[in-house]
Amino acid sequence: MPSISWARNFPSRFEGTILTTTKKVRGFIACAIALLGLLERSQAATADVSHEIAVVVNGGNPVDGLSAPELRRILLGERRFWRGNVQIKLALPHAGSPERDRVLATLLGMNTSEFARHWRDKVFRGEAPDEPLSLPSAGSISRYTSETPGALTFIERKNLGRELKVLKLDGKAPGEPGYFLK
Amino acid sequence: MDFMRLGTNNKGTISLFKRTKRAGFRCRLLVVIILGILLTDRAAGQQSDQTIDAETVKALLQRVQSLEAEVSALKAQAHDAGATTPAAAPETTAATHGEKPSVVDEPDSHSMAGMAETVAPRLRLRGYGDVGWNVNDRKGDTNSFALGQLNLFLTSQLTNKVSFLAETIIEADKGTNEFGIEPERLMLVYNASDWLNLSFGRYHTGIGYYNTAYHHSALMQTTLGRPFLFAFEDQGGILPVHNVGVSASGTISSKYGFHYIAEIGNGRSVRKDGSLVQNVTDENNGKAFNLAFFMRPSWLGGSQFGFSAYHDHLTSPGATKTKENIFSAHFVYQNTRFEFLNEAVLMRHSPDNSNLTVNIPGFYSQISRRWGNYRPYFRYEYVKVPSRDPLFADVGLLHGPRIGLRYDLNEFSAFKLEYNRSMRQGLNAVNFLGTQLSFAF
Repeated sequence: MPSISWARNFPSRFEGTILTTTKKVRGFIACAIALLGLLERSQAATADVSHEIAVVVNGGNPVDGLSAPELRRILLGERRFWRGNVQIKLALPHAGSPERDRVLATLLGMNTSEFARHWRDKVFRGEAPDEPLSLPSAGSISRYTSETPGALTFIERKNLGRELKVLKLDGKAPGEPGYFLK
Repeated sequence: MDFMRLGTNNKGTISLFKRTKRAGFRCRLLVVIILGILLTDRAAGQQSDQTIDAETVKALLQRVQSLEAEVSALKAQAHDAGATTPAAAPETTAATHGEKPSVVDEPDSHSMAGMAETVAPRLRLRGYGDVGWNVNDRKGDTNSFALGQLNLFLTSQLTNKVSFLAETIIEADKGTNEFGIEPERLMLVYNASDWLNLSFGRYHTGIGYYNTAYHHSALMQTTLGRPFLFAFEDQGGILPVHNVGVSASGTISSKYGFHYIAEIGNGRSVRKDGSLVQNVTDENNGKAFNLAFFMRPSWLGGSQFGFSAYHDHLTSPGATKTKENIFSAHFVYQNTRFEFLNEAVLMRHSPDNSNLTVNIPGFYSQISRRWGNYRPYFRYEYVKVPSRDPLFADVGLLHGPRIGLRYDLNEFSAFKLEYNRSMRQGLNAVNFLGTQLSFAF
């Protein structure tokens, strides 16, 4: 028969055991939740990277990178030639596409309508022969870029093909920390 | 039983159970909250992905249908082009299959230049027009509905670097109501590089800013009419707005946004009969020269400032032979919402065989801001032609404010309502009220 002192001590020992067990269980659950959260975050980060927008040019273009101000000048038609006097053939995803909206908003602070108006004015003033080309799909963008010397266009990273040459922006390639075109 | 009594009566045991219960409850609550947040984010992401995917697919399908029609037309064009395309075909085919043509294996700039494209002429026609109603209090004038200019704006890309531009205007004469047609701009443009573009033909002279920014389309400009300083010759303007010759322009420094314009042309005529633009025959062997520089600094995007200098010798029959020098300076700032234009011009006339030099100053300042589709504007303009000027003394002093409202019905049409007051030396001031519907098609 257990002694009364043991019985008196039993609750504290039992309490200690329960508390310890509860702490362990809590700790286990907290770790599981933290791991789950990390998994979600890494999946989201992967999704963000795949939605980055790459600046791509024809494979024969010797240029490896552009600065953001240079790219803006090209988008605005202020610069129309690569070195070697090869004309820049600017092509954008079709109007209404999220990629086009993001490129224009990020680089120029414009929406599609404002960008279209800028180029209409440019053509009207005789400063450009025509507006930039709009292409309907990632496939047509890839095909146009690989077939057109001087082509410069934008394509989501997840749609990149091996035949396309990707430019660095401000020294950063898509996927690298600090790449801002997304 | 003692044990049981101890278990139920002991405060420590009860507190243990309570604490354990509370701890367990808190734990479960924490798990539920975190899982709820994660699941909500995932669901929102999936939903937006689904929405984006559905919208993108719909837009792509519509685009594919329109492009199928375009491809059919282009194939027919390419077939007609015939002999010019076969040389390019092998390289194009190789690129399509993912193989790089041998000419671009070497990573140098000439590799791209070697793959010259052949482009068949692609004519594009855009149209601009305007109609309006106006009334003023000048004696003898009537309130009238008025047709403005019908502008047929043609462009055509002939090759990669050569293009064509024409702005053909059909408009009725204010006095006779008779229609006339005139190519106000007609240029063959060669884009050699960023630092050299050559235009051959009839162009808008690079004096100041307004003349090369706004041409013959009421839709493109904010206000109902041009500043008087830049009015067209056949509308009483005093500047040589048009010229026929060669215009060179380009970028001197893209880093600093520094540009130039250099022009040589027939100059203008000041004869009372015939065209004021010397389209075919120059009245003399001398030519008009214009040189302009302007900057578009990147540190103040949307701004431009510059100056120009123009020289000509006018020898029209029936008019005093006069050397003409025109200097201009401008500062403008424009973005999608706000506009601030400022220009000043000094025209100097020196009649031959005379020590006289007449200075003709003029300026305008225009400000406007957009709120939604509404854009109110204000402009003040000033021109003073001294009475001893040999060519434009009848203009005298002309100045006044112009206030109006532009409402953009959509991207391609606008309605304008404007009041202006023109004050002239020795004459009664004229109050003008006008409306205009301008559009593109």
